[in-house]
Amino acid sequence: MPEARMAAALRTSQAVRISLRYALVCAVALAMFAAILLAAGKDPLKAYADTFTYTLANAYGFSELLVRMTPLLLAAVAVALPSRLGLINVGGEGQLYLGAWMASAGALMFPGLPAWILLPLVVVMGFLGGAIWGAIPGVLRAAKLVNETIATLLLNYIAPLIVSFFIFGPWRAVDSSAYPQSSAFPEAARLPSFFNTRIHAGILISLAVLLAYWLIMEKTRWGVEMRAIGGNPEAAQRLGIPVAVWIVIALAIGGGLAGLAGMGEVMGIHGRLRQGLSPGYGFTGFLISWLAGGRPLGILFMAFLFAIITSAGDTLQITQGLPYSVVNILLAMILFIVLARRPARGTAK
Amino acid sequence: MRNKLGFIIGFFVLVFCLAVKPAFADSPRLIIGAVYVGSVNDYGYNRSFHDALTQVARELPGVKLLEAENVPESTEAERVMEGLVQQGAKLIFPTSFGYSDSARKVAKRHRDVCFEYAGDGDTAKNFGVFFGSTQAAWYPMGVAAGKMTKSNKLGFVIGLPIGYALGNVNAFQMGARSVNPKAQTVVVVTGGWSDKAKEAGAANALLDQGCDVVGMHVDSPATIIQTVEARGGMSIGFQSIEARALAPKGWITGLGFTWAPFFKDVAISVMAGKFSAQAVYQGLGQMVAIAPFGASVPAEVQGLVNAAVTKVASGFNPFTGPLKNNLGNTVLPPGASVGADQMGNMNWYVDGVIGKVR
Repeated sequence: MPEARMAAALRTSQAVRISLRYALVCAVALAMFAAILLAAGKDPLKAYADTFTYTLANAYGFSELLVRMTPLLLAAVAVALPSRLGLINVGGEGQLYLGAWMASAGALMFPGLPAWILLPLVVVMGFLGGAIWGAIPGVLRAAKLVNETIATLLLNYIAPLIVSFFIFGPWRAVDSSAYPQSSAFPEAARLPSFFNTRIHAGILISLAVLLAYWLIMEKTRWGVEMRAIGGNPEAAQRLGIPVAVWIVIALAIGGGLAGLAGMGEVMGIHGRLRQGLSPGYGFTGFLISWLAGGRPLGILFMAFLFAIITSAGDTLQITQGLPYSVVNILLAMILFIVLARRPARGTAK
Repeated sequence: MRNKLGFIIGFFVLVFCLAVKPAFADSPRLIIGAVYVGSVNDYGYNRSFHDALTQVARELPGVKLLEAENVPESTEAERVMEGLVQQGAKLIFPTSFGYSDSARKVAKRHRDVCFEYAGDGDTAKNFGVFFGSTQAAWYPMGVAAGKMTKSNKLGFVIGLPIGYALGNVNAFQMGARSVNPKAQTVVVVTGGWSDKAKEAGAANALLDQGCDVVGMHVDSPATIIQTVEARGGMSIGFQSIEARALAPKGWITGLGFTWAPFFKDVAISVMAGKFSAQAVYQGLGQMVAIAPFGASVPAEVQGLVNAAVTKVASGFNPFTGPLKNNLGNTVLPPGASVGADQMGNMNWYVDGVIGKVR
């Protein structure tokens, strides 16, 4: 009993330490960024106040944070899940695009179906699209042919081109000045949105996925097997865990989740397939997962933080006349500080 | 540790207090919001809007300008426009073609905010559309290119194959044909309005194929003009007449936008509460201006170009049938014509253009 109590206490103190670490990282980054704003002749307090006013303390701004978080959460879990097996999935962006593409294919091919069939169909298609894009590197890795980092990275370049091919060619809308985009999807394929904002059903999918990820990883035998592979693949193999199968499954599911993010963007927000549908959500998802150490709560927190920071870019540009790219400095600083802290933690262990 | 936590909480409380304190300043009579797809330092498309709006803000007392640059034509656009509205903007200029859906959604939510969208489509009570009719103005540019070329092969780089870009290419080719029956125009599409690497690649490819005069329809003409200049080719500029500074040797002439007079009228009408949404398309002499000739352009060519300018300014529409497309099919029967308001729907290349629409 005392052992369990000690473990619990240890876990609590660990949780406190981790959240304090996050807060400290943010505070240091914000302070350094304030210095840069000062150097640029801007008022950092005013800048932070504006950011606060127009994102957190404002109904529209807050709703947009959730809109941003929706694909980020999925893209982060898409990285976190394979990372538990020691797999590095840098292909979230490509998987997202292919998910968007497959979902669009569903909506454009079966425009007459009622919503209760079409909606689940596009969701499944979106997942499948990403899953295929994740399974390819999975198979290559499981067959010990190509490292999954390389394969997922390179597939990122192909997926947007597939999307481009279709919107420049077969799917190009005739109604919009020949602008390269698909025609609008039928209403029945659109994810419902809430409260007269752009928050759409995708956020529910994201949260459900996050919850399922935690449950599976921590509470099921599957989670144990995957973590065992992450710990020592050779030992796992000897214990009879089908390592190769798990590698393919983990990358396929990860890809599928990123695909769901793409599906959410086209079905929840755009209503048609177009170029540039993701401003790098897949890559940001990788950062989030990595900064959060793959922990579900950390992912939630980091996705929220990244949503605020990117919103800050808009606000700072409009209210302070700062170029949008200044928030990249802030993002880079957070990364840098986390990086700078990593080795210290490692040696302390 | 606890101290740090206290500090962080204190910090956020402070931020909150600052945030809720109402910000008072002498409130401007009109806040104009502008959304640009690229950087205002592109010496091209975005610069033309930035210059015009800065001029309006300078010349009209009480007008404040809020700008957002590098706004992608994605989810981001709607968010930025909503942000501008929240900052009190009552007149918004979504200046890129791909903002259409987003701008219309924001306009529908905020009926008290006026929009002037650089593109086409339906107007609404608070949603006007405008653009410079550059297509006919490219005709005299074609005349210049047709006379200056030695290889009879002209190059044209376009970002996306939308109707307006195709119209520019077509008028250019027709202008060239009018003075040079052998003239052909080779088109390269880069797939985006601002992709410097592909623009340089496209310019090089055109020169490699033997084109010696290159025109373009991308946001910033700089990359293409510089690439062509470096290899001894000639260029016809677009978007900003200032681009001629980039090609002291190879510059022939070019087109640039002059939006300021129209923007000023719109701003005044919004301040007077008399905004009326229209589709405004103005060509040469209004929204579109011709750049000075380069040093290498002989007086004879200048004379022909100026004659073509006068012809277009007095109402000549190059898009008048009979016209065949480059597949040999008749696209405009005799007497039919394509007006500036239908230019967005053009989906063919005129005879003599080497390129495919799809």
